Amino acid sequence: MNGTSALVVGDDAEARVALSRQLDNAGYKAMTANNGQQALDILERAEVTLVLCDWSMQDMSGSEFCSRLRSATINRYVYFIFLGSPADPPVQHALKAGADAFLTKPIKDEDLHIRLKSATRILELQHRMCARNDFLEYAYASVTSDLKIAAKVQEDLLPRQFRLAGLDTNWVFKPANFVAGDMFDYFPLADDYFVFYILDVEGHGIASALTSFAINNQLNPSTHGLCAKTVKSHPVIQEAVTATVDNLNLQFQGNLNSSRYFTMVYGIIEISTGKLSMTQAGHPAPVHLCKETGKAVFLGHGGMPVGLLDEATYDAVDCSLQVGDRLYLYSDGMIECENENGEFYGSERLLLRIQEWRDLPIEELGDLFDGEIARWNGSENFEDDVSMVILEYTGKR
Amino acid sequence: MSFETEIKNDIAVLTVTAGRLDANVAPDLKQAVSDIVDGGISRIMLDLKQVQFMDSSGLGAVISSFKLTGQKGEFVICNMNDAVQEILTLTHMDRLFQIYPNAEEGLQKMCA
Repeated sequence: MNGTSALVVGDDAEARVALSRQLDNAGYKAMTANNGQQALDILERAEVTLVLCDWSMQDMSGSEFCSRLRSATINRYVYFIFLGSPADPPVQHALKAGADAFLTKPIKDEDLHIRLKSATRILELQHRMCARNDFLEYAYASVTSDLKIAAKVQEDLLPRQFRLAGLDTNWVFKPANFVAGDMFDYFPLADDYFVFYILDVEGHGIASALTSFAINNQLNPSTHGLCAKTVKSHPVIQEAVTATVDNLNLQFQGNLNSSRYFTMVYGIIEISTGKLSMTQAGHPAPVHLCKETGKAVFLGHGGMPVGLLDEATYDAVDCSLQVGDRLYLYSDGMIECENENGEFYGSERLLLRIQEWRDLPIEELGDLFDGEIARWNGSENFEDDVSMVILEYTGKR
Repeated sequence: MSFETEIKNDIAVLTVTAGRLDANVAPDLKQAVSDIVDGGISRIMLDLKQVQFMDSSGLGAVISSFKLTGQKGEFVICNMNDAVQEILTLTHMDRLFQIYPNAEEGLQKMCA
């Protein structure tokens, strides 16, 4: 290998010079060291990738030098050849000490060349592997940085927490893999409506997130959005909620080979009366916490997911909210979150916790449920996206 | 392989041998059903006796399988545990296909 730096290590100055000359002739740039410590110093400074070292040395034995070199943090592979007499320990000892090869002295040109060729092969392979590794690391860093930006974009799409006309709000959002197939939003609409939804696109990760972005885009609060259009064409809110989900179901029908679909809860609250109407499309049942009784119950009787079957029809579930009542929406990633024993968090545990924390202010509930589910999961790395929306009806302010 | 197929008369009994019918298994289920249908059999019984848990991807694969058997075909499920039953109920998918408590009963009814 032309120009490769080789280091000859040994006590015998004459032998060092002779071997250096042989290496120079073979196209190597030879350096020398007369003991192990000096050799280690050189290896730290210079880009040496080949070492030829005497097995027997006075200050530091060859095997000790070799094992110190192997445990040193050097950013490259060093091919190590031991040089010994027939009286020295057998090849196995040298290999055990961390060497790649063993040459018996006196060193014949032919033997040296064979060893050097083999060294070249290994070093080139190592070099190619390092280059590929660097490329992969670079690619991974670039993908990760893109995903972090995408995650920020998704987070920016989420609604603000706390006080809105007629309702106080809070939420939990924990994507499994930077971006989530879970999405939610809520906003006042027309004069007296408060629209809310939560959705979960099958699977998680980038493909699911992109679909959730597309649905979210359909449901935007502007006058051109689907929410406003259905409210305008259906003055009865029960009909407005089912018409919205019907519309989405037809829009998001995949082809026969694709089973990408989503589950959702879509609802409207009439702010002046507390009248609530919503559609539960394959999504876990929302929980209604009654302020007066302190009891929490599940609402709805299920429904078909959206985008699976074009003949699916949807029902509305009604409920009357009193001031102080809360509504909890959440994704299956919450109740199907498993602890270290493989036990699900479960809807019953969720119901109990909602009741237990009924007197705590809604401002604290986002962080509390966030911590609760992270503790159950045992870490911040979730198998599935976890999201939760909490709404508290305050009536007209 | 997470599946075993057994042909009984003109019915393919497809048994899921994985404990979790999730995103890891879902594409294989679709493929297995597609292979059966391509082989000329359109009556399929999906046996879930070994499945403890099914997630949204698993459900998607089951619905795709149902669609693959087509109008003329038949797609039934047997041996569901409570957790799987709960998902099918929540998503109203239990209204879409026939569900039998076990394979014997299902085959008897299908052959009647």
